[in-house]
Amino acid sequence: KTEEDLQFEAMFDKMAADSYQERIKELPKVTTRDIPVPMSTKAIKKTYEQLQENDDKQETNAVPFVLMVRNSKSGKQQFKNFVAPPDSDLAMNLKMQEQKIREE
Amino acid sequence: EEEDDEQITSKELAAHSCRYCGISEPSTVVMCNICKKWFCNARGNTSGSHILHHLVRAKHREVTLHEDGPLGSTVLECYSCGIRNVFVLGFIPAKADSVVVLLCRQPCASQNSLKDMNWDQDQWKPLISDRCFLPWLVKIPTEQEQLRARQITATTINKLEELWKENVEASISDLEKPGIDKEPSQVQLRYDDGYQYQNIFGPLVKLEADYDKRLKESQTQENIEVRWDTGLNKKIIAYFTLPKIDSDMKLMAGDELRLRYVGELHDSWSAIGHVIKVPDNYGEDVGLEMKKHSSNPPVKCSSNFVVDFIWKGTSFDRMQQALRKFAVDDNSVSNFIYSRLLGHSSADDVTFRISNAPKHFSAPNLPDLNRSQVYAVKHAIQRPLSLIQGPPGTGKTVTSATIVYQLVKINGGPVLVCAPSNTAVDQLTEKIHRTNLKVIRVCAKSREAIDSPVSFLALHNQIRNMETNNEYKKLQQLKDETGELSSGDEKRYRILKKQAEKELLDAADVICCTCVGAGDPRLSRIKFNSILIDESMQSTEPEAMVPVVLGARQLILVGDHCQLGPVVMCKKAAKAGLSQSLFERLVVLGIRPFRLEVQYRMHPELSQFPSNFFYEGSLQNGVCAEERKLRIDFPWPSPECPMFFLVTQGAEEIAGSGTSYLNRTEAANVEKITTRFLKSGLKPEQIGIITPYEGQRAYLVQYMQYQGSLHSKLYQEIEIASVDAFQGREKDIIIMSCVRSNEHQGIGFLNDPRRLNVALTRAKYGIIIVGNPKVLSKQQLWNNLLNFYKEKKVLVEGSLNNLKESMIQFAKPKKIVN
Ligand SMILES: [Zn+2]
Ligand SMILES: [Zn+2]
Ligand SMILES: [Zn+2]
Repeated sequence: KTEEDLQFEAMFDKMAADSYQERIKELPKVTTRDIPVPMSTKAIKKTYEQLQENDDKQETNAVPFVLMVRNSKSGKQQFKNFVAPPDSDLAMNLKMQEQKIREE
Repeated sequence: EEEDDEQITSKELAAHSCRYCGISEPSTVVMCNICKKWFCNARGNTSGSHILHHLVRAKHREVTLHEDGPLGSTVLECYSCGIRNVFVLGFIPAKADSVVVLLCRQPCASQNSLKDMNWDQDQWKPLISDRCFLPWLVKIPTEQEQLRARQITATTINKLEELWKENVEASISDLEKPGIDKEPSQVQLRYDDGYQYQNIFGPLVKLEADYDKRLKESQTQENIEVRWDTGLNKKIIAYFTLPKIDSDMKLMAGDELRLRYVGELHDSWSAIGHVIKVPDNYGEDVGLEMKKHSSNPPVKCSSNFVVDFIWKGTSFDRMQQALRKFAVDDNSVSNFIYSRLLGHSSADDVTFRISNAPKHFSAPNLPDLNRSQVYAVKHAIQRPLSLIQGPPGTGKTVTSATIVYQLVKINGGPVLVCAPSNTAVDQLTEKIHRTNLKVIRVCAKSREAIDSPVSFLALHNQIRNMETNNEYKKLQQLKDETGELSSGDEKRYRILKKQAEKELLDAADVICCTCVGAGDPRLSRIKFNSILIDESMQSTEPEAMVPVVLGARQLILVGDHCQLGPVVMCKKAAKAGLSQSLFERLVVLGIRPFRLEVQYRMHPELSQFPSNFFYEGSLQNGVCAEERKLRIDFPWPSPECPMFFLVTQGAEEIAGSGTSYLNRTEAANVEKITTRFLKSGLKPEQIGIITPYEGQRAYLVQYMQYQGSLHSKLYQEIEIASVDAFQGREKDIIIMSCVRSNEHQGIGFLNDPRRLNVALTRAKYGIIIVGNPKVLSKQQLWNNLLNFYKEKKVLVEGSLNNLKESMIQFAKPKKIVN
């Protein structure tokens, strides 16, 4: 690794630590609100293109997910589809959870 | 394959292609919200993906996904609180559903209510893993895409980012242009002539100026809340705090800031003001006095303000002018001084013949001088160039004032007296004034409103008190009352003011100002034969040259190269030698400084280590232990030796600002010691607390006022500052908090022996150091100091009521490069 690489890694760590510290300092200002899990996300419709795309490329194992975001202008809930690689933490976790439920 | 290569080089790259490597597949790139540049999520041969390299190097923290990517155009932000800092963002999956939500680590992802709502709180994961964005969020370009792209190293990335700070539109090809990466020439010991001198120092001054400009201009702070007030002079004052100021930035009274309103409750407004209050024990807020003519500030509004720092190049311009004058103007200095400054003439000693040599080398109303001080005065007044070294507490200011007095008596005036800082100039001005010489203190216009002990000697105040000048007085009165004059009156006012200034300056025996202040146009037509620069080790060479080129025939540099040198912020310029003072270079050239040898400040036990390690054991004590004994009840481990090192092994932390450090355990110990001193009857102004880090200063102020067992007002009156702020001053008791306690990162600020010397020599009666010997002992000088304390049996641990000798093992010292 070059000197710049090591420098970058140190700066990265510092940036992450600083950001966290800053949050802790600012805490009192932030009021958190409840976030209900949306009901029946399975029913959220995909666009035609997305279906097409999925048919073309998607490896059979890729796991479909929905990302819930807030529209930055209107502040309304939005749902965005994406797929997680089957070996990602996200997919593995879901698989485990589903297994648990099945066992119960 | 060939065709593809061509495409990358010749085809206009898409606007959203990675600024480093050119990859433009939408699912693999993100936009930096701050500079609107795009970067990809490939890491190439480096240790992080391109987008992260950019965010880290540019200190940017927010991004937006591409609209043609799988998630569409999405600003990454916390679902709950909306924060966009990607370094604290992560996601939580729902317990039994394939839904994911972005939440910040603190406080949103850790709130309790989440548990009840089927979110799998324990599964929170950051969006950045292994210094790349998670691939489901931003895809990683395929191997083939990466192979086809431009190969870029971390070194090139760094250079490109540096280049963007000067030119936001620069591209990789600009890096290949000649001159972009050239290191500046190193300063030398000797120079052929004034031109070469200018050619070497000019670019260094430019580097420092550019750095200073960039730093100031990058400090703009948004979302500032303002509290409005009106001062006694009826000017409007805005108070606010600056949460994210870079620790390199030293905000000082007199600095200019621009305040802008960007909200919707008032028309857009912007105005400039002078800083009249900086963060201190009484509060972290900054006070900004708005200029008189700034039109109706939105005093009804309190939020949505922006603060900009205003860069002023005046001092750098003056240094450049001085360098030019030194090169081209034969009359700027005498031939002798010219060749000495360039390092030419051999060490032959030239003395002036003085017909009316004084019999007593002292000055009215100043203390009698000791032997080494008398020699220094004698030496200085007879020679065209002399260096006087004044170790801590050796009466440097009195000696300087006496020299100035004698010079005026022998040659008549005016003598020019300078120092790098306003505080040092004020101190010396006050002493010279006592000798009954006619002294004028010339201040920068921006500092005229700032009060000092010698305000009455300031040129702008002396004009007001002139008896002859009635018309001027009337106009001044009118101006003070109404705020402005008619254009005709203003013109007349200016002419009269100029005349009055000239009259006063012509009659002065001594003119005092800062080094850069000597470049004031009002002084340019005055010829100064004798020039004295105090604290000269604290000015850079070009800074010292500003007064020198005003005609020096006789130059006296007073200073101490064993104390702190000038502050140079640009690393490149410092590395090239700008941080070496003229005093230091002349010492290296073989001009022997005349050293003052008797110190009157420290208890003899306190002066022993500094004398041995910084002054070859030559410091004598002008005070005895009895005169420096505090008659208070305090648990000194060894009562004859009023010092100790309190072993404290708390962890250091990065302070809130992110650019400094703090150490809570040390702060707690400092509070206990301080409280004990206060309880024993010491007054707050007798105590000084030194800490090298701004983060620890702010923390100590807070901690003592809220956690201290005595009234918070008492703690407020205790001065807590950096080593640098204490240079040139003294306190009865010094408590020092070292802060760094990290095994790996060295001890930063405390590594400079000159800084340690200054820290150890501020106290008159006693000194206490709070720190971690395990870490400090790695450095040679600290190792010596710790062993010194250990031998004196004052290296202790435990509570104040029960201090015990510490048996802690020191580390082996090694050379640490700072
Ligand atoms: Zn950016
Ligand atoms: Zn890239
Ligand atoms: Zn949040």
